Amino acid sequence: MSLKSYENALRDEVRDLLQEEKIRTFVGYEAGYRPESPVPVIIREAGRAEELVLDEFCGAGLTRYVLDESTRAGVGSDMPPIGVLARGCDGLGLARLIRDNRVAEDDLYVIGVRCRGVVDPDRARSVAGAAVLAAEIAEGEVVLTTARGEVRCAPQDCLMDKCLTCEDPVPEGAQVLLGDEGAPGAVGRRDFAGVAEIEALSPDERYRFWARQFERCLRCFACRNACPACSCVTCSLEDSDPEWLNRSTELSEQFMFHFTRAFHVAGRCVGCGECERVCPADIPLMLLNEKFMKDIGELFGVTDPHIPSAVEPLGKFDPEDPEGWRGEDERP
Amino acid sequence: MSEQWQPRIVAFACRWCTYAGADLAGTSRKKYPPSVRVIRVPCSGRVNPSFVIRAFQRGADGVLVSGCHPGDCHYIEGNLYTRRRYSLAKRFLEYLGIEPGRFRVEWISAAEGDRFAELVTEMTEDIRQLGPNWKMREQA
Repeated sequence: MSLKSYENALRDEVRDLLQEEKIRTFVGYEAGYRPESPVPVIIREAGRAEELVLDEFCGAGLTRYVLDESTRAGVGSDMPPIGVLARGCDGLGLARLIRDNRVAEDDLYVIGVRCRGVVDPDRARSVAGAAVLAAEIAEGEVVLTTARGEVRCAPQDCLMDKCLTCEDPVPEGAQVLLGDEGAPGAVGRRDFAGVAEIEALSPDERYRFWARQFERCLRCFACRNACPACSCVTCSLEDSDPEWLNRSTELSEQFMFHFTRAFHVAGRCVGCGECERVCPADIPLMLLNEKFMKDIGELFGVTDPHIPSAVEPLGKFDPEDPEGWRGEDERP
Repeated sequence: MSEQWQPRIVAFACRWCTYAGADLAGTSRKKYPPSVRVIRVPCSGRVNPSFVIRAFQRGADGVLVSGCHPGDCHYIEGNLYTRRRYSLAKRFLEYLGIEPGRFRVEWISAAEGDRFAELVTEMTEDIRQLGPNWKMREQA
C-alpha cells in the first residue's frame, strides 16, 4: 500500500495525542504549493490534524524543527513531549540530537514510518514528463501518477540518492510505526563511488572542481541550519572575535566555510543528505561528508559512522591507530 | 618581482617536544633554511584544522603540524587525538586539492634537533619544486 493510505491513521493518532495532551506539538508535513512538494508544518491544535499529509514525497528533514521546539521550551520543562513524524533518516537525526544533549529523549514522541524511500519531485517530473500527482513505491519499481495516467520507473530513476543506499529505513525507538512491513530494502550499497571519482583526479583538477562548486555558495548557512549534527548554540563561523570567517564570499573564505562545516560533522554526520537537499546552489555537500565517512572506515575500521554512538570516532583513539598521512609503504 | 620567491612554511610546534626540538636545532647550530615560521602551541591537539586553512589563506606555501611521538605526550593522550584528527585532515586537504607535499604531520621530540632541521630542509625543497601556493589564498 502507498504511504498515502496511512494518512488517516496518522491524523487520527495526532488528533488523539494532542487532545489528550500526550504531546504538546506535532512536527509533520502539510500540503505545499504543488502536490509533489509537501512542506513541514508544526501544529499545536488537535483540530489541525486534518491538515497533515503523508505520502512518498514527504522527505524534508524534520529534526531541526524538533530542536527549535525543544529549545523554545527550555530545560526541565514539564510539558508533554514533542510529537514528530520520522523516517529512518530522521530517526538517526533525532538520535544525533539526543547524543549531543540537544534534545532529551523523553521530550520526544516519535511516530515512525517504515520507509521505502522518498520520491525526488524533480526527478519524478522529468521521468514522467508531466506534473506528478501521486507516487507509490512498490517492489522494484515506482508508480508515478500524472493527469495522463501512470508511469512506472526504476527506483534509481526517481528516488532521492540517500534512499538508494539506505540501510536504516525504520527509526529506532518509535512509539508508533506506520507503513507496510517488509520494505523492499536498499537497491545499492554506499560505495563512495562519487568520492573515489574525485580522488582519482590530480590535485589541481580537484581544486578546480571544488572551486567551481564553492564559487556558487550563497553563504545562506542552510546546510548548517538543516543539519542534525551541526547544531551548536554558538557557531564559530558567526564569531567576530576571533573572526574565523569574514562576510565576504571570496573563494578563500568559501573554502574556510566548507572545510570547517564538513570537519565539524566528520564522524557525526548521519548521512541524511539534508545539507545537499536544502542547498539552493546545488553544491554536492555529501561528497565532502562521505569523504570523511570513507576515510573513517578505512583508517579506524568504523563501518557505520553515520549511526550515532556514545563516543564518536574523533572523540576517541586507539593506541594502535595508523598514521593516515602516510602511505602503507612509508610507515616509520 | 625583484626578489626571488622563497617558500614560507608555518609550523605548529608543540611546546613540550617539537618546539624544544627546534630550539635544540638552533643551539646545536644545525643549518636549515629560514623558510619556517614556528608557532608554539601547548599541544599538537590544540591545532584546530581550521588553523591550517587560515595559514594557507594568509600566504603559507606549506604547513607543518608537529608534536610529541605517540606515547610521549605531556598530556598523556593529546597527540593520539591529533593522530586521528590529522589522519583525516591530511586526506581531506588533499581531497580539496592541496598537494601532498604542502601539508605534513610529523612527530619530533625535544631530543631530535637534527630531525627538525632535516624536515624543514626537506619540506622547503619539496615546496620549492611545487612553487608558490595559490590555492585557498586570500586575494590581497
